[in-house]
Amino acid sequence: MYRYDEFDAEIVRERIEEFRAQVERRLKGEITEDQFKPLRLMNGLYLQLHAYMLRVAIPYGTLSSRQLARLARIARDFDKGYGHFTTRQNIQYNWVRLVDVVPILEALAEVEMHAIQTSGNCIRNVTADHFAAAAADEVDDPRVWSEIIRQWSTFHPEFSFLPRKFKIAVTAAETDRAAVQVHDIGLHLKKRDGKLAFTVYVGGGQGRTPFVAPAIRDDLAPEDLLSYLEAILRVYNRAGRRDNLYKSRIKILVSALGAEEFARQVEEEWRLSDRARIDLPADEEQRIRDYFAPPCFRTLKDADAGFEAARARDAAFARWVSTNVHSHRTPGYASVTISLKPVGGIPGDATAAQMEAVAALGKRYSFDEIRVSHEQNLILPHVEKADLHDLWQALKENGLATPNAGLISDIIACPGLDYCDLANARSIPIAQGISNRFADLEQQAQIGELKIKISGCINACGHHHVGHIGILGVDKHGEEFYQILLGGRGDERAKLGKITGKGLPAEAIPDAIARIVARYIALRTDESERFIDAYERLGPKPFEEALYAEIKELAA
Amino acid sequence: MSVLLTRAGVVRDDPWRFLAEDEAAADGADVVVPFARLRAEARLAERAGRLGVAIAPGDRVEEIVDKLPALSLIAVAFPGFRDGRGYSTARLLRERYRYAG
Ligand code: HEM
Ligand code: SF4
Repeated sequence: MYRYDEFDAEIVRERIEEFRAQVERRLKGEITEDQFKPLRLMNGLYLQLHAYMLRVAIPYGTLSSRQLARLARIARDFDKGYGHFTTRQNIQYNWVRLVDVVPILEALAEVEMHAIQTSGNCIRNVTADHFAAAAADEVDDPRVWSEIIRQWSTFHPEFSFLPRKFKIAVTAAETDRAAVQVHDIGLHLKKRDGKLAFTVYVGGGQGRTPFVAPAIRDDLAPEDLLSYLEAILRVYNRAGRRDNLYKSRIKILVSALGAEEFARQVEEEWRLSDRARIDLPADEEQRIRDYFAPPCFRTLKDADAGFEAARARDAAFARWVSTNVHSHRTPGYASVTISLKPVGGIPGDATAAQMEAVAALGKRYSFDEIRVSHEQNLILPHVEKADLHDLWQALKENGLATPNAGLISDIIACPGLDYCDLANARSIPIAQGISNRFADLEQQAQIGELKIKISGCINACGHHHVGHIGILGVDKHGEEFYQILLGGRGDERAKLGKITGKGLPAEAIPDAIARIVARYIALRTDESERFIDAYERLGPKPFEEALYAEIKELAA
Repeated sequence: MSVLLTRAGVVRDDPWRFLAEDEAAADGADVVVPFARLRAEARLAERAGRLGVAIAPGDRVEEIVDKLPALSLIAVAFPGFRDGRGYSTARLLRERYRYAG
């Protein structure tokens, strides 16, 4: 796994010292909160409704056991005993006291972590497929490229004050699990005529003006990646709007110019650029690649008799396997989703004890590796099938074995009005309400894959635009209402959901979702037709009718 | 008000005069003209005295490449620290157009 070099470590230390002095001045009242704001944001420290929140970067969602154990300790010593994993593969601590921030940053630095570039108009933490280096449908390890981008973009002198924040996501598998098409830049590495090439998506995003990104290139040679990214960023840095916050993202520039004209400007900029100076020499790429060398897998037969027997014997285990265990490209191994969505729980929250348990299990069963998924779950990427039953039991003891990965209660939700000062409405209780409504896991399994995503306001941190069912909190004359969207998806066939009719109050949401689900069950061809497939076959009409059925009756 | 900074620190007796849009460039003086004037006034470089240009964030350096050899100073303005366009300007000047002044 990649380790910081001396250079990184030194800069992080300097930044902590600088921030220590700034925090002291704030604590003594020598500077106001307004003066302190830009300084704290440079260090990932936000001020929310009730407390400071610290956002810690987890590059491409990869953690070692030691790092996760440290995140646990911080949760225990400095927060209320838990942390919140986010859709950007970061962790947020929602109850941080100002006096504790520097000790937290020091504790993070000891395990090569920090909170730099988790805020501000710079290139943010790069996200990647959480099944990297395990998925069978992958052509390369996307983290190699994510790390190259991370090194290039950290403290980039030209791109630290962009018109707006900038998010890059990378996948190298056929199935896009990183939602690359709704990022400022999405990179999809594929095999093309026997050679690796990036398809480059630019100008996707959610927020108040959502876009699925157009592809401006489908044949970018990997060795040209950095110079090409630099050309895109330069065009954006110079031409992106700075007069209007809501129009400052690159998606607005791309849509104003048109994808073709934007691509032409990038190509022109790229043609003029001094690529040799920017692109990574092959030996440097190899040096980074070596950090991601695959673990020493044992040579195994793919089928494991003990595992099969346990599955046949133990129905609860079998159910968990069918949802939370994923095929691995190495015979005899599997990847495991550890659900952070217990029935009625808060999506993405993990207690210190749970994090410690996962850290220990990751060390024991998964070559010391843990991933954070953008769907707010944890992943053990490389587990021997023979160990799955033991692992499952250990997870169960820690409340981490909910068999719901990809199902209706595997909900993404933003912090919403429980924490966020921009929120119009709460999102967490809505997620809990739906999760409780569908508490019967048997029923969930019968419904099959269904992705619900909830945001507490138009900023769309909860990805509601790309939920199979999206839920958006709005404020109507001081009351919380929820708009339902249908048919969005964030995968390789990304689409924005369609906004349905008028919003519903919070207490009506679980039943509304249940009506949509019942209509889907009635209309699907068979169990293999997922909700999103049925929606695409039938269009929105039957589902919208179901959604508003009850309401019409009431009005009549 | 701009302060001239060099590697040696703040230059006290700053000889440079930043000219307004309509202010005449006196012969013999070291003057910095706005970007638009550099483009519009062909004869600026023919005076005695050194010539400089002030580049605002929205100005495109590509448009003055032919004049770079005549310039002794380029002042890249950063009106607000959150506006990072000047960094692209500076990088283009140094790396693409090899401006070494
Ligand atoms: C302190 C709480 C937060 C604040 C103030 C905040 C603010 C914002 C704002 C203003 C936007 C819209 C940006 C735009 O449209 O240009 C946004 C988008 C987004 N945020 Fe947050 N956010 C918060 C928490 C989170 C959390 C917890 C997550 C991850 C779970 C997250 C992930 C995202 C994502 C994925 C987007 C949409 C993609 C994009 O357009 O950038 N945010 N956020
Ligand atoms: S979507 Fe809105 S409410 Fe939710 S975290 Fe983002 S800004 Fe806050």
